[in-house]
Amino acid sequence: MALVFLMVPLIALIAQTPWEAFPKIISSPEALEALRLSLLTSLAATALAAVFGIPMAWLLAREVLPFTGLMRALVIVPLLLPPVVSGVALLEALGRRGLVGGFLYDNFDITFPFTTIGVVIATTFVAMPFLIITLEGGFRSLHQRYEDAAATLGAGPKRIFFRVTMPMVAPAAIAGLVLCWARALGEFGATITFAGNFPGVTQTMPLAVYTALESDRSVAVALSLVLLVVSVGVLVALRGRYLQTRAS
Amino acid sequence: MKISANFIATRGGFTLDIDTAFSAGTVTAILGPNGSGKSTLLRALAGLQNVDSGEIVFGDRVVNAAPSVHVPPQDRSVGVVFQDYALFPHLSVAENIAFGPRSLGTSKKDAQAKSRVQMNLLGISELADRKPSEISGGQAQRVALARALATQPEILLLDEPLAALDAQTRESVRTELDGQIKAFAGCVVFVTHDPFDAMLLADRVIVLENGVITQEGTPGELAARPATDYVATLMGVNLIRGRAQAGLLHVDGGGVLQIPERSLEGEVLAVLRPEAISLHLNKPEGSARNVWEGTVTGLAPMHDRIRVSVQATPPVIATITHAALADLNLAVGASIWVSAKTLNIEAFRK
Repeated sequence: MALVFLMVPLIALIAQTPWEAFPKIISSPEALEALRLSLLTSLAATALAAVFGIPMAWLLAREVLPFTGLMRALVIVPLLLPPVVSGVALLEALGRRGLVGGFLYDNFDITFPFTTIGVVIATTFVAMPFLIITLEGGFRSLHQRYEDAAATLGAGPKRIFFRVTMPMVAPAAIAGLVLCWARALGEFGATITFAGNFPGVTQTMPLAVYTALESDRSVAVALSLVLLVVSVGVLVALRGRYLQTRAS
Repeated sequence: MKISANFIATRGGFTLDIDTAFSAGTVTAILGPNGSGKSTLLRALAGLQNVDSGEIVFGDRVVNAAPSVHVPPQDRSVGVVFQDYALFPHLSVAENIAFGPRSLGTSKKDAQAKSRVQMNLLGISELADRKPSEISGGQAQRVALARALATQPEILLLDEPLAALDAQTRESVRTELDGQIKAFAGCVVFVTHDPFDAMLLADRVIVLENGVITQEGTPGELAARPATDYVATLMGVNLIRGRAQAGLLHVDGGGVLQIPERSLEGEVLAVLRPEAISLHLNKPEGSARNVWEGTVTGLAPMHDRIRVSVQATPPVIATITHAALADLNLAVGASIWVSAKTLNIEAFRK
């Protein structure tokens, strides 16, 4: 039953796809623009998440900082928060009247809301926890003795991290990055709240789907199909993680 | 070079209190039960664990002095063979061995050359391109040793080097390891819970119990004069405590034994070998001066003998042959007479 419930909408989506018009819809300037923007912002968000999330995951796994439990809980919050709430929270923090945003706007004339960078910030906020949580598990299951061994062999902290720790957690790192990217690509609520829905600037694929629903349903279906294909692609890429019945 | 270690280190509620030294050309075994602090001691020497007070000195270099000086592991010139070996699974055998030289700034080419030299020395050249998951336990042990030696350390530390191996491999690897560590010019310190490894591989044994050193000496000294019940049990001898006076040993907990050393006075320990004890169904009459009665509380087969535990004053463990077991018709709960010749009891001052 559950499987049917989960599958029927997906089958319906495929069945309802206007195949004749599909190439035309997909190659329309609006669709291409949204696709380009989606790829750009989701990749940028993934890169940002990697830069900040990987060290965070390591710190959480090694419990080197005080209040690790509390910090882990804080990291998970954006994961549980309704994305639209995340968007509102970001507005309050980084908006022109926001806590930090006000200062940046007044002093440096920097604004984030309703810009492409705003999209990147919103998606990073929502997607980074996926990377941190996945990678923390990887770091955790890596026994400290490998890092100890590297240290006694003369490796400094940087060499240990890049030559021992990261290669050994590569599967978790890749899984985390892909999950993070997939989440960033599908981000809707926080993006529309914080960055708005401006074609060419902040209108990513999910926003384009939403917009198309109000005018031309077939366009929405076609764009949705593209996102579905990406999701299946992610599943295939991570098959080792989710398709196995037993962990190896 | 000489290492002097005089420190206190704590690790999760456990306190290790050490005052000893290690010298070059000597193989020292740290022998102790699980949880005695052996690995913590090794970690402290390696620099993986900071001391809370006191200091560790390598030659004339203070590598750790609480609270300010802590030379990290990478700057200590120690080679460590970890328990389970901790070979990097993502690197080949050759790359594992080259990792140390590379870390210390050797060029890639020279590091590979050093790796080849070590592999030749240890006879593992044919494993060069294999991954650690593709080699046996005995081979992994040699790779771990080669990796530790490739940085040409002054100190070689081994954590339970044979514990990960099965009994059969263990014999041959122990013999190999004996040759390899004796050929090493610097300090060798290894940790073990197996008295056999300590006896066969070490020149000197440090016994660690509950975070403190309870005995230090050559394997022979430990066997002849165990200072604690733990060592006596490991050596398979009966250790009897008591007060000596005019050739008599008044045993703590009851019983009096005749001892050969008439001049010994005060608190002493006495060693009585299980094979020097005779068991009898009836009170024996003969030359044995020490005869006492007890109850059999345990029978355990070991190799070609049976270990018999006897509850008496003092309690003892005796070893007898299978034939003797049949003759005596022994069973747990049976009453039995114990006898030991005075000359077989070796008493000494604590």
